[in-house]
Amino acid sequence: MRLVPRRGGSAPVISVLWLTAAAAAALTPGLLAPGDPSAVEPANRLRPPSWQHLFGTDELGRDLFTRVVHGASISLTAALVATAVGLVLGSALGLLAGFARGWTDTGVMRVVDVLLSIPSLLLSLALIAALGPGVWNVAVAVGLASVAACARIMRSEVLRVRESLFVEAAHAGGARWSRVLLRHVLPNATGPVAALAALEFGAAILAVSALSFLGYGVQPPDPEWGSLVATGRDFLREAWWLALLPGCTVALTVLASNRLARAVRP
Amino acid sequence: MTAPLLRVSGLAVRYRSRSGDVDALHSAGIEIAPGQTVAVVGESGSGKSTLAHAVLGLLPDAARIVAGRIDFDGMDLTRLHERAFTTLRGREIALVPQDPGTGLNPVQRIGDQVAEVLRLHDLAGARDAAVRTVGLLEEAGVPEPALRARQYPHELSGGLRQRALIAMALAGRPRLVVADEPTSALDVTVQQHVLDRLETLTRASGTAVLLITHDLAVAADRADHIVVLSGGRVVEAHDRGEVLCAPARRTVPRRPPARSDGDVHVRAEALVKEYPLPRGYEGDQVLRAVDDVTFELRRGETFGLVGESGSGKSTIARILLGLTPPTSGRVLVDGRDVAALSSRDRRQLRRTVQVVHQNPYASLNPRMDVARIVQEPLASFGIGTRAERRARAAELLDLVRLPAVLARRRPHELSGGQRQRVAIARALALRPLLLVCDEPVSALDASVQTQLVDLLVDLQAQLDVTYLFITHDLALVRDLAHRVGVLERGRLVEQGPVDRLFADPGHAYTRRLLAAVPGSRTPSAPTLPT
Repeated sequence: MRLVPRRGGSAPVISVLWLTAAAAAALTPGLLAPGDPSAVEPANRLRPPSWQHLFGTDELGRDLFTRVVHGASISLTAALVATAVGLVLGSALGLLAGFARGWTDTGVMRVVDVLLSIPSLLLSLALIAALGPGVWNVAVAVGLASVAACARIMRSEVLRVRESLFVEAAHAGGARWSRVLLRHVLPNATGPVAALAALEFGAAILAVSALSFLGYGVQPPDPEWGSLVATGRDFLREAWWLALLPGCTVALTVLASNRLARAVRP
Repeated sequence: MTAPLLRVSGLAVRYRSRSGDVDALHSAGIEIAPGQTVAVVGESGSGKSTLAHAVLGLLPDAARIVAGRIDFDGMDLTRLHERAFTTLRGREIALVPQDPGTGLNPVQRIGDQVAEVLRLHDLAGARDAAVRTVGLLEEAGVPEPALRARQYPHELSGGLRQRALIAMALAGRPRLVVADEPTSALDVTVQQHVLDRLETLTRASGTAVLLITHDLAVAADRADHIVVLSGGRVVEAHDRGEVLCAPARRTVPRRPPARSDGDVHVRAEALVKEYPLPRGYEGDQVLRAVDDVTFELRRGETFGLVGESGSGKSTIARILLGLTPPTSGRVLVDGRDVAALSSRDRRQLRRTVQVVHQNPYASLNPRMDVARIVQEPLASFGIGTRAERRARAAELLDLVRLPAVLARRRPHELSGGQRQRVAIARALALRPLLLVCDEPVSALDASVQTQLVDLLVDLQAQLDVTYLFITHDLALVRDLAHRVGVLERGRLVEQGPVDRLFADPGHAYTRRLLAAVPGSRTPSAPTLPT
């Protein structure tokens, strides 16, 4: 794997800068926006973007920029949890299917096929219906919906790597199957999965925001990107910035992580 | 002498890459008269392919001709416009590519691909082209040409595909054919047929040939004039028959003297391995990859197993290593039947039988550094502490004559020869009694091959290890084996001491193999270490 861009160009660099800023916002929101995201200021309601209020203010006079910065923490953490759930479960399933082959493989992959046949957002909604609303349930639901894709990639990589000569050499050298799996197959199969993880992270931000937009995620007054867009929707006519600027934040973050996924491709 | 058809003079080609510019050729020059065959010989990286591509105007985008000219029939090809080149290529200068596996379009019939050359250059109409294609295939030595023309590339063997490519190259009756390693992917007997056919055809039509090869013996056999490239420069040039091979020739085999006291270490008894063929292929048929093979390995000796591709030699290696079970027959190691052992005993047996694979580029885990690769078998068996293993790895690297600084490198930072040394060190880590060498040097350049063979011989003398040396290269076997077995389509047709087998081959197939070894036409160079 290499982190250097394929050809010269600043897109990956900008992506990294943007994601670093987003991560900083998630970890220490006070640094970027020292204000209180819930501070109500009725005199300043629905003000357009200005130097005082970079993203303008909402219907209760709260500073939108502060709310977006503070929302990063919930949105990104939820997306990270979702990606981790999908990655760990999917990789484990793919590894099992690819390495065990036979009936295990057939069984696992048919379940994966069923999962793939259901639209992922619909699957997440069904899971939330079972788990109940809440940020962490949303994250887990989004993660479970992405298990299938990870499992497929992992399985195909394992099938490729296990035929390699160095795996045969490891067998000939007396390595037990667990050692072959963990030391020889797994490290060489992770490249494409890592690229997929960056891609899934972008998709997870979008899915988490979408589910929050539908009202399944955080409950007001906590800020979250999807729910900010949802509130802004009611004021589209008089205050475009309320929906548009958090929406753009989501779009740019997804774009940045997708661009980065291309750069880390092995 | 007539005016040359092709004259390359002072050609310099530079590749641009991120890590800086690389000069592939420095002022290289060759001349080819009409109808003459000139061989360009060199190891990988010598610039021979760059020269071929420059003549064809097919240099990659990153390459630039920085100096010199290529005169073909009065035109300077380095200044020729791409469009003008298109009419020249195939019509005046044709290419026989290296790899018959990828040189043909897999979704087009053979006949259509040959006919396309005729159609592109307006040499024939649609109907006429089909007829002439069959004739061209027949000329190129393709049996049943009308049938083959309707087949797809995957239905043909490598030798037949290469003949189809020759038919394509000669379809436009070019005046110059560039043959870029035309037979290096083929078995020796097939190589001989293909080269014979190419020679007959080009001599008959007066076509000049630029033969690119890494094999000095092939060049000595086929060319009127030989040019040796090294590091992008012409270092030697010889006419046919000059004793250019003399310094490379070895008069004394490198193997240590045969031992008479060696007791039988490994015995393979009536080994059979069958693979089921895909169903519906004339009922339930099986492919007999190994057919009733029996041989013995005595301690400290080298047994050479010779055969062409598909002869079952790698399958035998896999059976001996316990990676695949035989369909019937048995392997006895020190008198014990391997199949009867418990799985734990069999794993212990692994310690005594180790392997060196053919392809050093694929046999090392790319995520581990050299020290860890060499320690891996020790770690698998839980031998020694971490520090002891590290010390043993250093000792092993020293044994295969690799500098200690390489221990921290990853495989991709090593050359092919260095990688193969790492593979040998790994195989020796458990102090095995038998080392199965499956074409250990065939992926490497000739000079690197020589070094590795020397290393293997020294190691045998030092460690008293038995080698099963699997190869298609008879010259190599003659150099280091004590006894030889010849495999033909899964059957061991002949086996015996190396000197007897070479001096007086008993089986017709062995005689055919010996006759096909390149270099046999040139009396001065019968045993090239190719």
